[in-house]
Amino acid sequence: MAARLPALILVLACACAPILARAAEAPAWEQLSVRERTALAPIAYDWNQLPAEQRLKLRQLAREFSRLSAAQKDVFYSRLRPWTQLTREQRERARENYRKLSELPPREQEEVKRLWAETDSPRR
Amino acid sequence: MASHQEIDAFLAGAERRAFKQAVYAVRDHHHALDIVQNAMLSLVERYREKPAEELPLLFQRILRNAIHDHFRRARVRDFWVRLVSPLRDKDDEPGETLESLAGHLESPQRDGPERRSSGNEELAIIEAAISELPARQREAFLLRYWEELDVAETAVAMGCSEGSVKTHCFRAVAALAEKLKNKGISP
Amino acid sequence: MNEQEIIGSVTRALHRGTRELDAATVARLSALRQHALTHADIPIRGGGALAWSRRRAWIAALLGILLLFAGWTYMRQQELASDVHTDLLLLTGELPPGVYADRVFAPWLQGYRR
Repeated sequence: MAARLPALILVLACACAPILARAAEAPAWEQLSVRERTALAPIAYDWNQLPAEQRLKLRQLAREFSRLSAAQKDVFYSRLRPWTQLTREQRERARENYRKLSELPPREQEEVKRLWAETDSPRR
Repeated sequence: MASHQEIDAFLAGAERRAFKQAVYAVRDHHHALDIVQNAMLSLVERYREKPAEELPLLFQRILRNAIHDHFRRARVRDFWVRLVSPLRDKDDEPGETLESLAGHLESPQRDGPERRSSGNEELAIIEAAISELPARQREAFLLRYWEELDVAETAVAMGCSEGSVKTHCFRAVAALAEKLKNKGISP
Repeated sequence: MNEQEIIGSVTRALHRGTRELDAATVARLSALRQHALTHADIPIRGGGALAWSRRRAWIAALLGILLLFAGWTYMRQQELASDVHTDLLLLTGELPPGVYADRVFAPWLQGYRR
C-alpha cells in the first residue's frame, strides 16, 4: 500500500499537468509583452474574454507580426477583430477551406479566387 | 534479519491462530485460508529482512491488512454485482455490512466435523460470540488477550491509539460476558 | 463473573479450538507455509520476486502514461503550429477570412473542380 502512494501521486500529477499548463497559457492583457500588445491592439478590449486556447494561438500569431510588411500589417489589423469574432467552428472551417484551396495548382487558385470574387458568393 | 528457519518456526506456531482469526472475521473456511496464505507470502516477501523478534507484531499487522483487503475486494465485487443485476432479491438491507451478511451464509460453529460433546458446544458458543463482536472489538480482544500483545503493541497492530485499544477491549469483554451469561456459560 | 475470568475462559476455549483444528486444515496451513517460504527463496534486496514484478508493472504503467501524455502534447503542439501558420496566411492573404468561413465555399469549390 505504501509503495502505491508515490505512484498514485505521480499519476495524479500527470493528469493535472495539462490542466495546469492550460491555465498558464491564458494570461490577461496586462500580462502580455509590449510586442504582443502592439500586434494584438485591435482586440485589446476583447482579450480577457477570449478562451485560453484562442489566446495561445493569438500570442503565437503575434510573434510573426514584426516580420510582416507595412501593407500586410494593415490588412492584419483590419481582419484581426472580425476573425476573433467568428465562432470556433467558423474559424476551423476557414482553415480547412484555405488548406483545400492551397493544395490546388497556383493557376487554379488564382482562377478560383477570381471566380469567387466575381460571383461574390451566394450568401456573403 | 530473520533466517529461513526462524520464519518457518514462527509461522508454524502462529498459523493456526492466524487461520482462526481470519475465520472469526470472514466466517468462511476457504477465504480464511486465502487470507492466511496472502499474509504468509507478504511476510516472507517483504519482511524477511526484519529481525526475528519483530515478526509477531508484523505478522499481526499483515494479517489484519489481509482481512481488510478481503472485505474491500468483496465490497468492490458486491458493488459490481449490484450494478449488473439491479433486479436481485432485495432482502439484504443497504445498511448491513458484508461482515454481517457473511454471518447469514456460514457460521463458524457449523464447520469442522468434530464438535459433538458439551465441551464442544461451549467452544462453539464462545467462537460464535467472538465472531459476532464488532470488528475492532474482536481485533482488540484477540490481539490483546489471545495473542498476548501488550496495549502499545496492540495499538501499533491496529493502527490506533492505546486509549482506543483499552476501550475496544473493555467493550469486547463486556459484550462477551453478556453473551455467555445469556447462553448459561460460566467460567 | 469478573473481567479476568471472562478473558481466561474465552481464551482457554479459543486455544482449545485451535489445538483441535481438523487435520486437513492443519496440513493445508503447513503446505501454505512451505509454499510461502520456498516461493520467496530467490532473494532480491528490498523485496521478493512478486514485489519486484509488481513494482515493474507500476513503472511500466507510469511510463505508458507519461508516453501517452508526451505524445498528446506533441500532437497538440503540431496542430497548434499548423493552425497558427494558416491563421497568419488568412489574416494577410488576398481574400478576407470570412470568405473561407462561408459554408458554401467548400461545396462550391468542389463543384468548380468538377
